[in-house]
Amino acid sequence: MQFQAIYPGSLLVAAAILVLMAQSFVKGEKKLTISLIISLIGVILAIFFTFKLFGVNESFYENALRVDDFGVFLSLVALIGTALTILISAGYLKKVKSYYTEYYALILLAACGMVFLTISGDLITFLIGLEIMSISIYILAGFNRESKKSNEAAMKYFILGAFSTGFLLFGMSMVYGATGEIVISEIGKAEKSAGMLIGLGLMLVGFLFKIGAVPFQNWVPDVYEGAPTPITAFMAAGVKTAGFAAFVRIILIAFQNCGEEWHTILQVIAVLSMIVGNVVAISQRNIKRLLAYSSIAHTGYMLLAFAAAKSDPNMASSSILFYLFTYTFTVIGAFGILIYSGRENLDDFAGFAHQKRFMGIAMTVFFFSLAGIPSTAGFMGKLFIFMTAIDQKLYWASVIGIITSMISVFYYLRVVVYLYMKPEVTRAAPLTDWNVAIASAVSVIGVFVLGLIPQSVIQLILTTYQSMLQ
Amino acid sequence: MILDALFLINALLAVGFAVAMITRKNPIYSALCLIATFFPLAFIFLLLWAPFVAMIQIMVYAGAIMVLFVFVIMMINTEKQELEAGKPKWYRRIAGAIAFLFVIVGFYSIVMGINSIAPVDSSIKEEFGSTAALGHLIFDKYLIQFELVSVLILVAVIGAVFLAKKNLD
Repeated sequence: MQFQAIYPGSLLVAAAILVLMAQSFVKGEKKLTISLIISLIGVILAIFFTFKLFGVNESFYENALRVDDFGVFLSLVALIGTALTILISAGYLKKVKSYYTEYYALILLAACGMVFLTISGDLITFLIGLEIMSISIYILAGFNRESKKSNEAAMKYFILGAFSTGFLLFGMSMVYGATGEIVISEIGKAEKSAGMLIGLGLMLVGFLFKIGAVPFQNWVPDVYEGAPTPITAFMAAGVKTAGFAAFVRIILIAFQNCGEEWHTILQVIAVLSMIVGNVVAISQRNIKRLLAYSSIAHTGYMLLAFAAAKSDPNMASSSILFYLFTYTFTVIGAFGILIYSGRENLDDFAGFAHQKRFMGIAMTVFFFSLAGIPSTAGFMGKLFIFMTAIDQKLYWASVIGIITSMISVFYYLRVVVYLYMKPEVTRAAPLTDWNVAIASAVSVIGVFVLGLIPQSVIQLILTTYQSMLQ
Repeated sequence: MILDALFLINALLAVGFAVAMITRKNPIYSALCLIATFFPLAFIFLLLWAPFVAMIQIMVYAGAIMVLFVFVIMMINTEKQELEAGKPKWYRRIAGAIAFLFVIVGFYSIVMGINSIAPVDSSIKEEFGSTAALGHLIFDKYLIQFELVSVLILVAVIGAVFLAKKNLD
């Protein structure tokens, strides 16, 4: 059993090493195909073995790993995000004619970091998992070595990210000093103390940076814009999922006695994130930047549910989990279409839907889902979140959330208007790539399944909080 | 008694050099002060019966990492004007005031809550910080973390080679 807990992570590392080795045997475009196949097989096997971990609910390796339904579910979400990212990356690498397969290896290693981050049982595993993920992403953000913007993105993300890890580590050492424990469930048994509170504050800074919440959001637009598009999708989906996994687990379990404190902080930050994200997004003409600001807003929605966790942790964590699941499909799908079309600016999208009918429909679906229009996944996610927040009497924050979410409909639907109702501008033909098309199709299906028949997923999610406590 | 005195001296030295590090304008002096911080720190580790950590502290930080720092600083060779130009002054002052406030609040809460901090187990065995004890911990209790660190280093190696190499093919 102990070994089964590390199968997914080990498989991902093995696949990464195979990808690296493969490039000494094959050259040119074949290299890309082979790496793509190896990485997809690796991720799918990892998904399979993660799936088998449902219902285990045990700690392994002296509490280093905590395999419970909560972590396993988020591992699955992160791995599905990774698989979709690999698919849309295939199209991207073909388009920019980059034959460096280190790319796939780094994605796989980042996924390994995410898997360990989601099932970490103590603070050391958590930190190392986080760093494996972050360092891979720093490198991937600067993958276009010739592009100034990509270099800028990598540099900004690296410097600020390293700094935020410093805060996290400092907070962890404070918590260790106050409680003498590094195992997350043991820390939760300790009484509230000054050291714990300082640790909580410092760790919040680290976490809020990683998930891109106001006031630590400054890096998000620049990094999202400069990084290669598939990596932006990976950051918005995978990194956020894994970040939230550790965030929710550590706050709800290790800091369960400090509810009074984080409840207020998270509420304020949620409101700020929703306002800043949605209001600034209105003026963005670059779709990558627009999605960056919208991702800040989506972080805000999830934090709103998180603030409700003081009195009802089960509903709060469930709604965050469900939202992350819906967001993964939606955002990767949206970025996939950006890659497919080969454009980034809003004006270039004029009439795109007439040029490529199916891609136009898919993009409409994703933007409807981001806006939260009924029958899409985004609607169910938002419904769940606002229901939780209103149940726990966070009226003001919820009202602000609903108002800003209505503002967001404007800029999401503007994209759809450009797609259909603006005169067509002749642009270079979009690339036809089956991998991107498959990823988009899977995402569309995911959006509709979660939007129309989410019962079974919700039932599964509702038991995850209990599994954390066992 | 002597141990307490030694601890105090080293702690003061470490904090003093750390403060000097962030107040120096010239980056070379800052780097030197950082090196100077590591030695008293290593001594404090020795006082805590952790000779291995103390040696690593000097070898890795004062040795390897600092050499790297100094090299980078000398290579970049920042001009004096560049160092002085920066954010407008009022911006810095506000940031400084907030940071200072944070220090005061932190200090106050530590002083107030010092009793609540868990007492350190005073029955530390002699081999507690020895290399052998550390080896047992790394390869037994913290095995999975140790293996994960190797993955982390693999990531760093791939990244360094990829970003620094001139011609990849």
